[in-house]
Amino acid sequence: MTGQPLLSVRDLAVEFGHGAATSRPVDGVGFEVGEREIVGIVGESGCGKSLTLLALLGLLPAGGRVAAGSITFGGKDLLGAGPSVLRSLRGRQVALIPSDAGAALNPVARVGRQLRLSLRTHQPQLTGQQRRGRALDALRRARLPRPEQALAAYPHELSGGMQQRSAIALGLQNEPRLLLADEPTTALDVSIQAEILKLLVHLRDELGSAIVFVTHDISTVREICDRVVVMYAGQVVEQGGVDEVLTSPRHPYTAALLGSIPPLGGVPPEQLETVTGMPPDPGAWPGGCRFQARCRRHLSLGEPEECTSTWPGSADGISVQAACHFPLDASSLEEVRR
Amino acid sequence: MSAVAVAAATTAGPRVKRGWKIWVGGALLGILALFMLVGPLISGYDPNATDLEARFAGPSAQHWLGTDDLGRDLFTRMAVGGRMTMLIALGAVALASAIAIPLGLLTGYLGGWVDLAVMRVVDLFFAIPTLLVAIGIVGLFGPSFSTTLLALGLAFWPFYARLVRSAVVGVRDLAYTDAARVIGAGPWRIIRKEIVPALLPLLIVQTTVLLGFAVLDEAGLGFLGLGVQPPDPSWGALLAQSRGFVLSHPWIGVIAGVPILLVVLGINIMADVLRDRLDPQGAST
Amino acid sequence: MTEPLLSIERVSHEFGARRALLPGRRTHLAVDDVSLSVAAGESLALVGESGSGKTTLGRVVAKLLTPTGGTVRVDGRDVGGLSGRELLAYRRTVQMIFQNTQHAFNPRRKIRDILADPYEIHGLPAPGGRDAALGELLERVGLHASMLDRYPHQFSGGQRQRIGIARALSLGPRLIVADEPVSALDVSVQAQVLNLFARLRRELGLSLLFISHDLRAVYFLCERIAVLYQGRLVEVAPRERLLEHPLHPYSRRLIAAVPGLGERDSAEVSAADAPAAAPDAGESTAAAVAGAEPVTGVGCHYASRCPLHLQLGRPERCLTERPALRAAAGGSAVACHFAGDEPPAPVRSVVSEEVG
Repeated sequence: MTGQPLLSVRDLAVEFGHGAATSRPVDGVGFEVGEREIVGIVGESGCGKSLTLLALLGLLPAGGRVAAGSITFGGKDLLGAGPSVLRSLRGRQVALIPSDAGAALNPVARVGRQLRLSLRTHQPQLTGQQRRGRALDALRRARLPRPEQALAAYPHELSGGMQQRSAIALGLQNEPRLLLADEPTTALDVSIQAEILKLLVHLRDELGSAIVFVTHDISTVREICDRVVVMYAGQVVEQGGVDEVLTSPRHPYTAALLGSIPPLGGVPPEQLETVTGMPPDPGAWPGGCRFQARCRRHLSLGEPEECTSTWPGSADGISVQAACHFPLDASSLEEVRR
Repeated sequence: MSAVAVAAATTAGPRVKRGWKIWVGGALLGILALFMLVGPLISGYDPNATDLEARFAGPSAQHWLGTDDLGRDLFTRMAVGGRMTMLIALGAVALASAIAIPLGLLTGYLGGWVDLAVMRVVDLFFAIPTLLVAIGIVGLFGPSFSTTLLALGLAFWPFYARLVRSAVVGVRDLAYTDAARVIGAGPWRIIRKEIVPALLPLLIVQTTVLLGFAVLDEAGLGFLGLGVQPPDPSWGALLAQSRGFVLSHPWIGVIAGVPILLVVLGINIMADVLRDRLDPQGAST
Repeated sequence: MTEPLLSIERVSHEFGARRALLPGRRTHLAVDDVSLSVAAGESLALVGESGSGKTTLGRVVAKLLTPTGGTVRVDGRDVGGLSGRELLAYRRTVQMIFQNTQHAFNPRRKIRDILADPYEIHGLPAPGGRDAALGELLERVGLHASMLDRYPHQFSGGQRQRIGIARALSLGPRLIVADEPVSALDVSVQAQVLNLFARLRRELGLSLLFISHDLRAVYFLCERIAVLYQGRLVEVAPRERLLEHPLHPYSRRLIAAVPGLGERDSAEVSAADAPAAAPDAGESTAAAVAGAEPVTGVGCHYASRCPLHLQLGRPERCLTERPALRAAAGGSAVACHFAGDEPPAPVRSVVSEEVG
């Protein structure tokens, strides 16, 4: 990445609760998103990926707070910014694409009205005529068939895929510099999923928006992302270019995640690779490497002491590719895969 | 999803604040129950004994709440009338539940034409105000203790049955009733093991709420002269009686009315407490 | 050939059929004349998108629904009219596992009570006592006997799915209908549960009717794959055959949509093949808004969306004649008038393009 990144997150921590009941579901996350870049954040439920996204928007759920770190967007510090600054950024420069468009759209307002309302909020200088034109444009960009009719439709009159397209149109019509997509395809059928993923790539090409794509499904990341950030237990365990990370993962967790995807084609293996046990609880993170208790490499190396004593990552969560004392290389990767 | 779970885990806790309700509701109902049970014993009067010498006596050492137009002791009459009213209310709710719960379970679980037929009957009842239904029934059988009970019970069941039915429909379509069917559970077992336990909180709360309504409606019927007939006292009958002297002796009306208010208040507070306690969200933590 | 364990013969299910006489009721043909069979010890997948009828068909086999047409046979015996003891015996033969692990268990009952149900209902003897049997059941699915006294909400999604499997196993079934059992789970947990299924199949010789939209999970677990589209069976084939030589255009589309296979090259995604939503019933507005061609009973349901149909110059036959399922090479069967007649399209070499 050259020059100033569009979005830069350093050492981000999100806390809930107080005193002894404090939990830190996001704990030292750092990554950067360049202009026109699509970055995937991957992890399993509870790893803190969605909270990270919400923290970017200043929309943490009640009781949650950013406890540490910095978020810089377009050179501006977002954490220090007041609510009015955040409001003006949200929807205008940063837009969210929700995972459940059916729930995110207002059920009692026509799609056209919802699009125009958002335009009026963010671009008050537009006339009514212009707003209508823009809304129609946005729907066209989102590749809705028959956009004129969709303008006049209520959300429930649209199929799931078209609802998602409408929600995307809502996000992109103000031509934001950054789109945040939270599991935008999980609620959709497989073939529609593929279409929506393609659409996101298109939008990046057309509008030049950068995209942060949060998903639990590492295989969709390969479809559209330039870079990938793998999260585990509130931390970034590995990040880098998609091809690098997905073909030669350096962190044992990433490797395990990839190994647990059933292969398509050939003779199916007798057993899939799995990660035994469960992730730790955000109220009681273990010291050292948080994956160590489930790590097969840790076991095969004779349970080295570093793994339990020191966190292998960097302080800002960003400077190392893989937060592991004994990152995998080509030969050890083979060994992990048996 | 994870975010919500975390938030829920950290905000659970302010449960202590609900404590006062149990005390207030419990104290209200406790005192009133004591009044009804032992009141006549300690006052020493016969509720129906007239004493024309002491008509319209105000509250005094002899007559703690004064007397009525025939000189009967109001304290005693209120206590005895309270028993009558509570018996009617409890009986009416029991009757309504006995009709509504099985019917609601049946229609909700079976659906189909049974559901269709019963619910149209319920609709019919819904089109007529509860009190009017009760008045009709009293008109049919003549006013008395038992007809009041019957009338209120019959007036209440449709509302209750519909409530139970919709709750059953909500549970019936959950995967766990399917799972029970797949392992071979019959309808009776599914209702008993899967549906009723899920309904129990609702049933308890609704029965309590209905009890409050029954007390009020007994008073309403009594006030119209269609409840328990003189000389027997009930709160409704006493209220009706007080109407005659509302200008000359307004305190009689107040004495007849305040216990009704307190009982209904007490019952509603307890219903609230039960609702909080039995809420599945609260129960699961 | 030996008799299949399960045979589904021309089964249809129409929702709302019984109420069709009431005004304003629309019927919906969820399963439309589907025939399939599962041999003992075999594992068959039903794949398709929402609205394909795969779940409805699974519920028909589990006897949660009575089909409005056709026959389901187990061991050659029509199971339509079963009741009483015979129905219980059927329950011991065919079991079902549900997708939604959150609602598949009564939240007010302990695991011990939930798992004891089958024993009570069927009056099954539990050698060594019921407690021991329940503990053993949990151990078999990778949980601990000490967890018996917990409530469902105290388990994670993956653990609950294991309990669901334990509940199904308690009756010693020969066929398990599994309705999207892993799709709500995290990837690594999915793998654990899939492994459990694979192990149980090996150990117990179970047959599976595995319902899923996830071709990867299906390919791992099932020898044969049946593809459903809008209630109709469009193709059924051995897994390798379906993956390498999909015949039906819809099967091809499903396979192409599996993430992690396509070469990710944004230049390749030209504006020409800009991914617009296809104007068919699966991805369309209400008819009033979209004015889409209504899906009628005649012809092929997929025609309005079918690239082959377009490529062949929209032959009339696709719109007027319902394609029958016909046998093709390699053990496949396909319901398409023209599939296989066109030069074999280059199916992406999926085998080499593996993630990781």
